[in-house]
Amino acid sequence: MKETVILGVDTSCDDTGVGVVRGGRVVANVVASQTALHTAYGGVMPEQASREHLSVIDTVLTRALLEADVTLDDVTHVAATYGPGLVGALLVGLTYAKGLAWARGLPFVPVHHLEGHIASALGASALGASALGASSLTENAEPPFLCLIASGGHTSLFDVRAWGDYGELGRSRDDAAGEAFDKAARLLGLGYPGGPALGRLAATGDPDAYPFTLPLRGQKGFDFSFSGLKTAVSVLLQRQPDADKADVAASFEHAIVESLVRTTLRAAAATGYGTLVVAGGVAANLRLRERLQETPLTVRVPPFELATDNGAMIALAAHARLQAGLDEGDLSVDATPYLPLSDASRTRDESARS
Amino acid sequence: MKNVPKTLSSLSDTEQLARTLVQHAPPGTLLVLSGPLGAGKTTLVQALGRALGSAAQISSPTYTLIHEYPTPAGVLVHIDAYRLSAIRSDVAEALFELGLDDYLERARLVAVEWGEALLRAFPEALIVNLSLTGNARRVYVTQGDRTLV
Repeated sequence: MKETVILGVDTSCDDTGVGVVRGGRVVANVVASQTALHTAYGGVMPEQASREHLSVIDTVLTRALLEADVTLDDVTHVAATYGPGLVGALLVGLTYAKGLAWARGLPFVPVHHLEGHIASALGASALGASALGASSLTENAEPPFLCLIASGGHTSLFDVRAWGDYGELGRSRDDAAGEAFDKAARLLGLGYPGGPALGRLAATGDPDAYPFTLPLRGQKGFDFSFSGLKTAVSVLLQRQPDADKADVAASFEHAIVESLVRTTLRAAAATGYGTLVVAGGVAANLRLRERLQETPLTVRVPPFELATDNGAMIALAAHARLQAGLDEGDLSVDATPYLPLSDASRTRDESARS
Repeated sequence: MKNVPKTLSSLSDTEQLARTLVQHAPPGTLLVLSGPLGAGKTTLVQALGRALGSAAQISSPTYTLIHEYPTPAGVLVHIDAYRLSAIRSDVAEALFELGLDDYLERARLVAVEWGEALLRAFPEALIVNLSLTGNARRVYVTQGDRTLV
């Protein structure tokens, strides 16, 4: 069989991502971040989200093809995110990719955004292992495994039984973990988004200074809830305006990390899985990484550019689907703003059977 | 509005407020949710979803800006302008660019967090103001210059 060259497109939120996966390996991953644009324009967003995607997507595609050292003639499949996300933003990438597939007579693979994050496992390396091995495709990245997705927009724990077969074990009932970091940072006067700044400040503080109650203690399930922690920080700062900010940051980070790790460990025990994949921007948090390394789990984390929103992970998900013999999908798929992953995989399975 | 608690001390108080708001708000109503971080704005939208008969899992739209949920009564749109207000001076204009008119036209309810900037264009919007003092949440509901709760 001819080696597949898959183009993956993601425009579910702010970032315009196009990646290329050749024979299962990421060979290009280009992301145009509107956040960077905001900074470049002095904090004023010049255009609406979808118009922004539209204005850069051609350039991002061209750069991705160059980086991958391929031309459109080499591309064998086109994949794109069809949900969940901001409908206007989704439409740009999805319509662009469908148009490209149609014009070139290529099969089109619609991908759920979170399935992309799960598939970033294929580009992940084990925590503690040399980063040089990051791009190799190893057996460890194959299901079944547990996947924790923790980003600004999502926090969910998935039972990845096989490619295309995902069970959501739990999810955040309110704020995503990355969002909680950003908002607590704002409360602490670190600006917005200030998650990474909070992490740096926390490194100098005492994590036991303010023992925040861990959310959802005693629950049988595997959900998360971070809104209450944010409120607790707000109440604490109202009552003690002179509280040491580094100590508050460290205590807050400790509570988030413990909540993520303890719930994940219980899920690992319940599923019997020994491998955990951590995706999403929060995977870069150093305390989370340290804490996970203390556990008996084999923890795999994709490199940062593959952990945050990007197009290569969408191409990886398409690659995994094709390898697993799943349906390719077709051009009739619409942008779907509300789309639980368990619903998406079920619908796709049913359509494959009928 | 009758039977609305002025202080939200439990989830059932929030549920009661949500049911009353839904009864009071005709299709296409814009609901502006006002109040600081942690005041309970997203929690109220979750209760609005249940009041509209939806089992959808409603989470914070801070990052993705807009979430929409199908409910038996029509679409519930949940917008968070928090991030927009950090990057734009003209939040109302930004929301129009994101398709606010379209959402209002087809939605049962459009709830906007940090959407005070919309009040000039929509003086008839329902405003729910939540404030947090200690662990108590005080609620005011206003429309134009009338105080409803």
